[in-house]
Amino acid sequence: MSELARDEQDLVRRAGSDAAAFGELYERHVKRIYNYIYYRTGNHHDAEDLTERVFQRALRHVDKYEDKGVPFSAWLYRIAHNLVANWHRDRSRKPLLPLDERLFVARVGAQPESQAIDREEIEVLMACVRRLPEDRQQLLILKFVERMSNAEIGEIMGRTEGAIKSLYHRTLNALRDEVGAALVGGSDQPDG
Amino acid sequence: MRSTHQPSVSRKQLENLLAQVLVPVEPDLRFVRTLKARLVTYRGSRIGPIWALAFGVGVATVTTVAVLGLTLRVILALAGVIGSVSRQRGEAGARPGAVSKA
Repeated sequence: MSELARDEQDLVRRAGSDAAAFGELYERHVKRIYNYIYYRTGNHHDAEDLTERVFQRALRHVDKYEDKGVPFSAWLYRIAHNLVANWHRDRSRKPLLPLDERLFVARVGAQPESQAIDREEIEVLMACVRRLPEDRQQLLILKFVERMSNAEIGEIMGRTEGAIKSLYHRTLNALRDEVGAALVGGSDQPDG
Repeated sequence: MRSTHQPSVSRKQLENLLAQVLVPVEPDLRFVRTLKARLVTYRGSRIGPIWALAFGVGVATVTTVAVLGLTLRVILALAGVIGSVSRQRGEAGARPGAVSKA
């Protein structure tokens, strides 16, 4: 076990009775949990609301947390996953993932015309991502937003590294088919 | 339903596109700070399980009643002692007069 992991386990043990320890855990994980929820819900308002609920639930149950050899973040992601699933069920809707302006900022040197094309591509891509099953959406968020390795994702999703690799492969293939079909379908449509 | 068209994006292009779209977002710093404060306050204001609260109130009530009872007994005992001493002094003062009358 690494020094960081030992330090985290020590914080988790103390978090049940020590506010400062829980505060440290909160600081370490709040942005990642927020990002995960943001991409699952599609808006900042619900992301803030659900992030708050995740940490309130964690605070209530951290003294019952059992170290089963997986990172503490896996436990938080599990809570977040359950709350997001409830959120979708309660609303019976899956809002479009946001096409935030900041997504385009990273594209250095992009011209207005190419930005318009990019925006269309992105809208198609996000619509296709939104239609993926929950576990595949979770995989893509952890891989691209959180920049996690297959092994780390496996720990969080409770699967082996090989299973994650396979799921990722199938997800990309499915997504490529969907995006390809959507782009071709979109370009085939008549102007008038 | 699958399209019969050949996919127009390669796997590599799709990965590049995903990497450009799925980027980390920064939560509002005020939200992060406020939530942390609320979590710390929430922990401080927790009253615990209801049985613990009832037990605490019960212990406090019994202790208060016991202390009041003990205090009352001490006061009554002191009053009894003072009364007894006063009576003895009164009797001692009245005795010579009683002898002279006899």
